[in-house]
Formats: sequence, C-alpha cells, structure tokens
Amino acid sequence: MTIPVSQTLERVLDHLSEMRNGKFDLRWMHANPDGWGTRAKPSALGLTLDDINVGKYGEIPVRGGTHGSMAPRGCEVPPETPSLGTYDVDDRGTVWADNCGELYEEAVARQWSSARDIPWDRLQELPEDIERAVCQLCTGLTEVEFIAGDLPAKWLWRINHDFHEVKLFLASQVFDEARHMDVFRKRALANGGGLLQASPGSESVLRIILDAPNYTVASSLMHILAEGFVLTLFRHGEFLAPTEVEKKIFRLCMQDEARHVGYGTMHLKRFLQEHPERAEEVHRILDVGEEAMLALSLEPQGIEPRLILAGGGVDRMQEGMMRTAFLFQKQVREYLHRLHVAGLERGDRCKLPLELPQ
Amino acid sequence: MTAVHFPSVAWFQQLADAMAAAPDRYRRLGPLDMTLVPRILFPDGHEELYVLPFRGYTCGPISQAERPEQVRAHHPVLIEGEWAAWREMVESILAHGRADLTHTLNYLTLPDWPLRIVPIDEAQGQLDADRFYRYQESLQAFFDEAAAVDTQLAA
Repeated sequence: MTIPVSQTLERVLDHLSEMRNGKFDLRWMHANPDGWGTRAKPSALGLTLDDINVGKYGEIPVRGGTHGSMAPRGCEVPPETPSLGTYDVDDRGTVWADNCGELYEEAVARQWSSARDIPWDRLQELPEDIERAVCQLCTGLTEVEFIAGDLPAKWLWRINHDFHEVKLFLASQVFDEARHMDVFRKRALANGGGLLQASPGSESVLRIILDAPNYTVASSLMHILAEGFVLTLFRHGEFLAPTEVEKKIFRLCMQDEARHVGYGTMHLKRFLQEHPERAEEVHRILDVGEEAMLALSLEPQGIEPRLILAGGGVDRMQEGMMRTAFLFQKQVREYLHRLHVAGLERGDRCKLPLELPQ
Repeated sequence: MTAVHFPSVAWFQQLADAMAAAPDRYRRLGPLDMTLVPRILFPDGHEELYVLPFRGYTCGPISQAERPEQVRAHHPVLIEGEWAAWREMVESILAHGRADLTHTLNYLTLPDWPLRIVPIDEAQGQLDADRFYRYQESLQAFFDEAAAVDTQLAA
C-alpha cells in the first residue's frame, strides 16, 4: 500500500535530502544585521529585562508589529510568517507601563511558597470568635483574590508580543494571585475552623471588572481601585494578626499586591499621556466601581470579622469600629493619590466619601 | 564591646553590616530600590534624620540630613515619629529577638501613628510610599537585625 505524500511532507523530504548532500540554508546566520553585536551589561540586580533593552531591542513601538505572530521584538520576521490572528491589543498606550520590566524582575525574585515560607507550626488555638473571624476573612480573600488572575488572563492572549514586558509582568501577577488564593484557603482549613460565607457584594465588583469593555479601564478598576483597597486590607490583616502565622501571610501578600498597584498606576499614567482624550472612559468605569466598592465595604461578611479582630472579640466590636475608623479614609486617600500621580484628578467626582458616617 | 548609641549613623551601619553579612537571606527575600529616611522627633524639639539607601541587596552609604528636602536619593520615603515610639520599637526587637506582633513596621505605620510613612518626592508620591509595602519583608528583616546590636538608647 502506498501512503500518499502531502506537498508539505514532500518539501520536508526534499530539504532533508539536500541537507544530507551538504546543502544547508544558513541565511538565518546573517539575518537582522543591525541587531548583531549586542552586549547587554548586568546591573546591580543581575541581568534584568531593562538591562537588555539596548539599541533596537529597547525601542518600544507605539503600535505592536502588524505581523501578528509571537516573533520576539527586535528579530527579523520572515515575510511568510503567518499571523496568529489574536494580538489585537497592539497600542502601546493601552497596555504599557514604564515600570513593568522592573516589577516583573521583582516579582520573580520575591516569589514565595505558602507551603514552605509560612511558619504553620506556630499556629495557636484561638478563642472561637477570633478563629471564626480569621476564617471568614480568609474565605473572603480566597473568593476575591483570583480576579487578578482571571482578568489578566482574559487579556493576555490578545496583547501584542512586542510588549512582552507587560505580558511577563501580568503572568507573574497571575501566579501571585494563585498563591494568595491558596494561602488564604490553607489558613482557613489549618486551625480547626474552615471556610465560612461567600460574598455577593464581592461578586458584583468582580463582575464589573470582568465585564469592563477594554483592558485599560479594566486595569484601572482592578489594579488601582480594587487592588489598592485590598493592599490596605492586607496591611490591616497584618495589623490585626493574632499570631506570627497570619502576620507572615499578610506581609508577603502585601508585597505582591503593591507591585500590582504600582503597575496599574504607571499604566494609567502612560495611557493618559498617550490618550488624554480618553480620560472620561476611565472616570466612567471608576464611577461604577467606586459605588460597588462602597456597597461592599459594609457587607457583614467583610467588615464584621475585622471588627472582631480589631476589638479583640465578638463582644467588643464597637471598640473595633473605633479602632478601624481610620482605615476607610486611608484607603480612599491613597487611591486618590495614586490617581493623581497617574494624572487623573478625581477628588470632586469620587463616589467614595473620605469618611464613613460614625 | 562598646554599646552603640541609637539613633546614630553607627547604629544603622551595624544593621547594614548585618545585611551585607547575610547575602543569601536577603537575596531570598528579594531586591530593594528605595531610600528609607527614619526621622526621629525628640521631646526637646530637635529631630534627627538618617538616610538609608537600599539598592539591590545592600544598604549604604548611610548618612544624616538636616531636613527632608535635603535628601537627594532614589525614591526617598520618610518614616517619622516621636522618639518614644522609636525607642519602644527597638526595645521590642531587643527583648524578643525581632519585632513582636505590635511593633512591626507595618503595625506602627498603618494608622499613621505612632509612626508615619511620607514620600519626599511629590511627583512620585504614593508610588514611592508603595515601595515601603513592596519591600516589607526585607525592611522588617533589616530592622530586626537590631536584636544583635549592643544598643545604648538615647536618654
């Protein structure tokens, strides 16, 4: 029986035959001549992404390559290279941040393991109301943390490969959030408690983020508004931690979250520099996001466990209220300050009051 | 061995030396890129500022400044508060081998009292303050090095 030979296979066999006869192509050896002779030098932190952005390799195009492939920025792309047809987010201003290379390197260097790096052997038996409060806090954080994995993942496959620093940073963020989801779940299940109640209010915020119509407004909502608030929550978690275990968890998560907020702030800054006429799009999505965050901020599943921890017990929650009054103001102030640094003045338009009524 | 006075350049230098002597530990924690400026406000009205430039996995050279505006450094951020708060933090580290639950850098700064984080460069603002959160483990480890410093606290 004769096996039919396709044209592709025929070409491969012909090529193989030529190679066996000593005829090699070797044109690739002389491709990209103006990219040859590059000697990137390591900096104090080793050889970083920013260090290798030299010469033509460091030119971040205003528009990503139209070839639509995964060909690396700065290489020669043969004309017959097929487009993959997915990289339509290709405007630098809609994805770029000047700190994404730095943040990626920092993320890689600051990875940690929830199995290895948390001193689980130092968990202590806690009063039941305190354990329930810790477990509810962990239930809520397990629920929301992976939005910052799902949202980047929704856009990553569409971002042009010429902006690889952004893609690498977002990939690091997805993994950070995986670890956050796992560490809070582990804490809830490690000390005689368990997961408690999910949060409908959180799901409303998550839906607004996932449904955002383009990457930049989604990033403004998630990286600056939501993760900015969660960053302060992590700081508060460290503040309230009843043992060294929770202290360590929140400190490590805080570091990760601050990187994400840093990217979002610098991305919005770049977006507004390149597209100042589109500031209203960001304002509009923040109008919606802020109202949802405000509704969420007083949901019992979210606020009450922290009042128990702040007061020192379920019978001392009002004391806890007094001790946490500063927190909301701090969240709003830092949020508005990040927007200011990015170039978006929102003080008059912000839906979040600087102080919650006492 | 002579006790080292806190606060002083020599005291902070001891922490920096301890950091330099444990490169594997600090590499594991991750790199830093900021200048932390402890500002200690004394009851008699005078104040002292110490400039701690963190770059990569090291800290230095350490210096003093008269005023925050004089600090010309990478991503400068003040951590300021009354002498009593600083003293209590150092005493906690000396007593427990590291900051206890209520004397960590985050604990002391979150409510903006007794210590407070203030970015010096207005243009970078909150972005610089966020670096204090990004490097929290490293900064805490740095201050916890005080546990091994024979410290004489200012009267």
